[in-house]
Amino acid sequence: MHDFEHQHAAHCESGTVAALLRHQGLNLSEPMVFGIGGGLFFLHLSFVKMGGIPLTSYRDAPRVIIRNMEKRLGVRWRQHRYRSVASAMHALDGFLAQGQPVGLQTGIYWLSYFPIDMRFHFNGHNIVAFGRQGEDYLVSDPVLETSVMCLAGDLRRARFAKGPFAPRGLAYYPEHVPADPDLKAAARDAIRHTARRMTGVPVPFFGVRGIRSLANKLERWPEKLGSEQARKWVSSVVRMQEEIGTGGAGFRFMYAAFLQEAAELLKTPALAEAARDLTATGDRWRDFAVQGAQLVKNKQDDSDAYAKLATILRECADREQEIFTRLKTAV
Amino acid sequence: MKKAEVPQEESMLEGHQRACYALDEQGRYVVVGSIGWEVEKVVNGQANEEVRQAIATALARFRAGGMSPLGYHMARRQMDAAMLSAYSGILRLRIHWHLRPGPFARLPEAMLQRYAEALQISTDELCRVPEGEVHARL
Repeated sequence: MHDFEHQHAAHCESGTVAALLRHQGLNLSEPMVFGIGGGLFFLHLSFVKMGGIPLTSYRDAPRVIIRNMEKRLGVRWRQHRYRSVASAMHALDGFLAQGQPVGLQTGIYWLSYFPIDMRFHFNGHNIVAFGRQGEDYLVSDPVLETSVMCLAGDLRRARFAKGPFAPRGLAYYPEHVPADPDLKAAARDAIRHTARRMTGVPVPFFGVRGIRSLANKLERWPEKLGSEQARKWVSSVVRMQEEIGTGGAGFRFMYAAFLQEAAELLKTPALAEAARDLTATGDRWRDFAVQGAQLVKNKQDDSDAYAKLATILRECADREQEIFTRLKTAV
Repeated sequence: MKKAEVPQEESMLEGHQRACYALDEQGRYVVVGSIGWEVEKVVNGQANEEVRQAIATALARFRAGGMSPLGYHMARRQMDAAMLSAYSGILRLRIHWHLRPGPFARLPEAMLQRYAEALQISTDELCRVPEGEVHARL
């Protein structure tokens, strides 16, 4: 009855976009979508606080991947937001009745099919609705292994979650997908763009500068905040890197997978080399996560531990600066 | 990260798997399911511990007569006054006022209804707080 194919993905936005494009006949891997979508980034904004904790992100802004599919591949999206829950659900039912799977932005807190300990107020979670089962909905949540049933009440609440990034019922699907887009040009453009953003933004919050500024700040957290608060903040950085569905090492492994694929597509061995180096950098990010978690777990005051964490961060920044500087001219 | 290095440790995923990107024997990236990682469990546990602490604090203040049940239900839903305001459309200052037991007790049914709806509970539940010490965080 439903011919929608679920595929397990690391990240909700790239997974959702890949699934919607695949359904329309454009078969791209999740890393390819993530890479061409320009998903990889780093930012640390000490002056923007979410729940009292500074914002750290290993990826670019929500919905950047969706937008870049339009820019780089010529995918045309239909996007709708709604004033009322009733009209949003009514429109969704209309799409599904026509057999059109739709991407939905949701607040993860209200989705009861998730394990209870993973439900926090985060409103940027993307899923695909592709059918109905009685009153309820068949949903392909890319970060799960299989498609699931989502209670109608859950979906209503999740689509109209409030607070930062409120989805306001956002529903989207590709209206036009080119049959044979110029993947080579898209990959080239995307790699250059990400390389410039990682190395070239002249403020100390973004890209490799952001990583270094995080290192400098993190070193001083214990004296500035006290050890309990400092541990909390370290924990939040590690969560953004590993817990929030990144495919490992804050999207670095997934981006390396993209570079590997792009190396073959563009017949450019330099990209394969960059993929290897980024994988090695990803392994260092994983070390950072391990030592950060150790610090959170041990609850001991060890200012040395913060210095060690900062050292790993600086090493990651140096390596990524080197890799992305090379990538600027490699394609 | 190599395929064999993808952590398979007990975690909060409750039997779900997380997709990780790792290298196979030929050095090619593949998707590998992971049932969890100690690191994720620690940092996720830390975040949940904070939620539980906020609930326990609200509960203690309620029992000491210093806070209305609204404070407990707000904490249980992982909300602060700003978020509850976004959900209910009630001004933050008013919410703070209603966190006091006296003003809360005098709330008209219509206001209770608005809070109950924002918190997805019944007005009955809103005016009560459960017994005992162990409380669901949702």
